[in-house]
Parts: sequence; C-alpha cells; structure tokens
Amino acid sequence: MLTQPRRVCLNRAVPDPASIEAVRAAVEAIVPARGDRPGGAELHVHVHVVDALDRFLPGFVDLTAMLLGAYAVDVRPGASFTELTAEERTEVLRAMSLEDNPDMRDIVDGLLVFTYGGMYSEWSGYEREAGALRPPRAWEAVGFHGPSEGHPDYRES
Amino acid sequence: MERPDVVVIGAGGGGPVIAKELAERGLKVLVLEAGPWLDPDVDFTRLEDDMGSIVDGRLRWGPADRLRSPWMRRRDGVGLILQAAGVGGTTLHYNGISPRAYPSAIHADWPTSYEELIPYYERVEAFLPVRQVEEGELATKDALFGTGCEKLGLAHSEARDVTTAVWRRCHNAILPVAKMTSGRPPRYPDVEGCTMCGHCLVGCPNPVGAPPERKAKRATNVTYVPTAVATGNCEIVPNAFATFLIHEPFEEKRARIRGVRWRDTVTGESAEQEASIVVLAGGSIESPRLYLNSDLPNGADVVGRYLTTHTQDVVTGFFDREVNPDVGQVSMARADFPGFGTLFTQGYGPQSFSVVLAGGGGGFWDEDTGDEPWDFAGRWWGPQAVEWIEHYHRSLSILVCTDDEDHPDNRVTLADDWPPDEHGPVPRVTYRPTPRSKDRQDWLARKAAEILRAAGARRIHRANFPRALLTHLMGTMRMGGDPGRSVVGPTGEAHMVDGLYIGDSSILPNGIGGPNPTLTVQALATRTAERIVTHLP
Repeated sequence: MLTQPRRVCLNRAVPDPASIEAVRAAVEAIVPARGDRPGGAELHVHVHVVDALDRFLPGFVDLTAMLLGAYAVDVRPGASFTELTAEERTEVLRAMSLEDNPDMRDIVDGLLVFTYGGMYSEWSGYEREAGALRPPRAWEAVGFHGPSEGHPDYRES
Repeated sequence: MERPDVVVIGAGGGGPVIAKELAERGLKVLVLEAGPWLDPDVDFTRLEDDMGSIVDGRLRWGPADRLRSPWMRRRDGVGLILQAAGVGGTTLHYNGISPRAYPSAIHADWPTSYEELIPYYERVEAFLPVRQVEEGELATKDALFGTGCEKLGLAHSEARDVTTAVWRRCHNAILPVAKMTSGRPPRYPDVEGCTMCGHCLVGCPNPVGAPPERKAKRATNVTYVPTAVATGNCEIVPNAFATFLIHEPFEEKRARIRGVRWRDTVTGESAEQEASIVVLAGGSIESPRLYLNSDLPNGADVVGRYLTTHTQDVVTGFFDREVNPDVGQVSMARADFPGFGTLFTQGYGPQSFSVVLAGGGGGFWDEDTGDEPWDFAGRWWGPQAVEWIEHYHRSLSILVCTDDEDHPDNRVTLADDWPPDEHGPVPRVTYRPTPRSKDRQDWLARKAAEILRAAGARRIHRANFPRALLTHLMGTMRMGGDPGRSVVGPTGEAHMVDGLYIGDSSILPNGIGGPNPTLTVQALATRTAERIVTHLP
C-alpha cells in the first residue's frame, strides 16, 4: 500500500490543508474500508480527488470543503465535517445531493465520480512516469482481469 | 505543403474521411487537429484512468501536455462531455459500433433520402470494414443479452436496414475475432483481428505487434488517416487548434472563405493557411464555436441550435453467474426500437462501472422505485455501494440511446459569462430533454430492465442521470434545405459562407433515430467529398 500521496496540484495555489482533510473525510465515507481491504482514504484516493477537482473545476476544492462544513453544522451543530461519524457524513452528502444547483451538482458529482474513479481504476497502483503497474487490490475484489492483450478463452469466461 | 486545395479542421470521425476521399482524387489536403497524434503501440496503455480520465487522460479534450488543464466548456443541464482530442478524435474511444440510421429518421428535415445514403454507407462499410459479429463470436455478456431478447419474443435480425423492433448482433467497425490459442499471447502475426481484450473504450492497441493499419478497432487513426497520408497528397498537423476562419464579404450578406488561422498548442505560436475550401469537422461543440468566433454571418441565428445527444442512460443487471463485462468487444449485441431508440450491451472496466452504478445517477438507492422494473436507481456510497460494486464480474450493463427530439433551445453558444481561453470565447453547451424525449428514454430503460430480467438478472439498477451524459453529440450545424432551420445546404456547404463545408456529426439534422452516429457521419462525409470536387474550378 502506498504511504504517501504521489501527486500534487500543479495548476495553481495548493488548496488549504484543512480543505484536503475535509475531502479525505468525504472519501472515507464514500468508499470505506471493508474487512481487511483498505478504503479510499487508506489508499490516498483523496489526493486523486483533490487533484482532479482542482484541475477540472478550478477553485472548487476549497469551495467543496466550505460547503461540507456548512452542511455539517446542520447535522450536528458546532461540528466540523471531519468530526462527523460515517452516518452523519452520509447525511451531509445526501443533503448536498438534493440541491438543484449546477455548482452543487458539480461538487457532489466530482466527489463521487473522482472517488470511485481513483478507487477502482489503476490510479492507486500505477506510476505514470515509470509505467509500472501494481494491480490495485480493488481489482481482485471486483473480479477485473486488468489490462489485457486478449482473452483467447472468452467464450468460456 | 504547397498551397492546399482544401483545409480540413479536425481529424476525428469525419474529417479524415473527407481528407482521404479528396486526396485519392489528387487534391492537396491539409488536416489540422487540435490534439496530439498518439502511437497505439506506445501510448495506449489499456488503463482506464491513464487513457480515459476527463481531467488528464490521454484521450481527454485537452492539449498534449497532460500537466495542463483540459479545455473548458460551460455546461448547462449537462454532466459529462466525452470528446477526445487527437488524430482519430472520439473514434479513439468509441465502441466501434457502426449501425446505419433508422430509415424512418431520415424525414422531411433531411435534404437527402435514405436510399440515396445507401451507396455511401456501403462504401464506408467496405473500407473500414464494418461487419456483423458472428453468432459464435459473442462474449458472455452479449450472449446473455441475446437470451433475454429471445425470451421476450423480440425478433432476431441480421439486416443493416431496420424498420421494426429487432435484436441483432452488432455491426462493428472491428476486425473479425482472432483465432487464438489458450495459454499463448495473442500477438501479431500469429493472430490477426480482434483479441477480445475489452479495451475498446480506452484505445485499441491490439493485437500487439500489428502495424497501425491492422489494429482491430477501426478508428480513423488506423484507417482513413494512413490511407489519406499514403496518397502523398495529405498532410496531418497535430496540436493545431483552429481559432479563426478567414473570410471576405461575398454576394449579399454572405461571406467567402479565404483560409484558416490556428494556434500551435505546444509552442503557442499562430499560423495561417490560405485556402478557398475549408471543411469544418471539429465536432458538434467546436464547429459552431469556431463559426461564431469567426464572426461569420448568422442572420437566422441557427448556428449552434438543434443539438441532439441520444439522452443516454444505463441499466445494469446483476446475475448469479459470471458475466465478465471486461471481456470481449465492449458492445456485440443490440436491440433496435424505431420510434424510441436503441439499446446495446456496454462492457467496461471497473472505474466506469462504479461511476455509472453509484456516482452520477438521479435519486438514491434506498428510495422506493414503485412499480418500475428496476430494484434501485440513482447514486449511493458507503459499505452498501462498495458491496454492489464488487459484483462487477457478475454484471451486465445496457446503454440506452434515445431517439431524442431536435429542439432549437438545445444548443451551443459562446459563454459570455466566462473568460475566454487561449482559443477565444469558450462554448456554452445547453441540453435538456423534451418531455417526449424523456418519455422515450423511460420506455427504453424499462425495456432494458425487461431484457435483463428475462436473461436471469436477480437485481437491476438504473442510473437515471439527472444531467445529460454527452457521448453522442449531433446537430448544431445541421443540413437542410431551409436556411432558417439549417446551417448547411444539401451539398454540405454552408448557406451563408461560400467554400465552407461541414464534415462532422454537427451536420446531422437529427439524432438519426438513436443508432450510434459515426457510420452515418462517415457516409455523409463521403458524399460531401464528392460535392467538394464538383465545387472546384
């Protein structure tokens, strides 16, 4: 398992560390650890989410964290999003999902899509520069064959 | 190159068709492509995020330098837009599905008949080639789909021209399935054809060792482009983003094309090329954007209007048996419902699967679905979502492509409330399905669920995207006889601009009934190339 984030925001000012922590807490709620399998936060998928959000929706990392915090207060007065339980974080994500606002939809879609995208793609096990792939454990869990030159036995698969 | 006879803007699904047809007739053709020219053997890693990420994937809509941000679009009613920049364009990540339009969709708005299109279809089908998947070639997921259709009593057909509800093995622009030996790497020249790797959506590099012209999926980068270049009459310039169509006044309120200005996306330098004929083939977003950014006449305010998208959705079934959605050509079986749209199997990797299943749908999994034939819908997260995502290997997804209505309010304009990028004012893409389009989508989603249930699915999920997923973009520069409702005339030339032709999916007057549009775009491009030849002095 990777112990350090590999990628950093390259476009502009790095988001506030507290914002990154809020995104990490959201990732933890979206893809929690399951049995002995690591969850998204353990695999540093929040780094992928922050990087993708920052480049696809510039400025939205801090905005996302701010909104997570604002909705957290409605769920438990006085608490920050990172202090909420998994169930309470789900309440926050659900409330944000119900808003009929394009930017809010982008934020919630961004959190979910980039979290799942980081978790179930090669991202957590791939070194782009070296082209080295260590198949993520999530692939084994879902039964994905990984990159393939072909499947000679496709009929019996 | 010496002064070209024709400049083509865009090397995606349509532009290279026109380039090849003209170059073979001896015309000098310059093709400008906004994105890079990737080498399938070197650059296609078969990895979902590395290839397909909308942020920094090799097949994204953005510059070659992946450390730079993608090119932005203002979205209104739109979730994701999937378009690839690069030689081959969006055919780099298309399924290769190449059905013809439904004859019933070629209606009064079209300035041509279905019968007139058939010879052009046949030419493209023979060149690529397009062939129907054979019965013994179906992967597990596609055989399951066929089983469901048969149990529902849906008629089977092998026809290319579809007028009634049927199910078919797909007509794909993919070489025949290779004869492979278990336990041996399926590499060229030991094997030729499709190796059933399942990576169509992230760029086809197989068989390993095959020259580009023998790669299995017949994207234009391995078909039309090399054929055009081999004539010696065609030059491809990658990383060249067209920013202005140079023109001069011509006749009453019209203009005449004089050339193209573009920006090198690597160096940032600008360049120009004079030409008396320009073919606009940048896709249904960039073609109207460039037209509007060039201040060309648009008196009828029709440029950019009538965007159609097939109002897509995904319905997924979970089975008690192995399905392996990552094995085989991603789509090998389909069902057609003229008047409503089309359904086809959608294989993909776990990244796309998880995003579709849990990431972007409408509503939540734990909500009551009433009398609908699916068990849950929309998005979810947490332990339950993880558990269902882990059933990936037992899932079959069906993509819904709706015969959506063409409506003038669904359109591409310039986003005057956003800052311009290095290529000028950015496009604003607005799409909302009409009530009738939504009804048709719902009907198709129910039909997909019925097929899955008949095939043995135990649980069924519908994504029900609340915002449009744009993979099939059509219209915005559409063809027609009425300048008040169309941008180009029956020959493919713009009503208001002499010498400007359209060679991409923006020319389609409607969504062709729901079938995948690339083959029809390529047939029309073949036809337009003929018209261009007659235009030349």
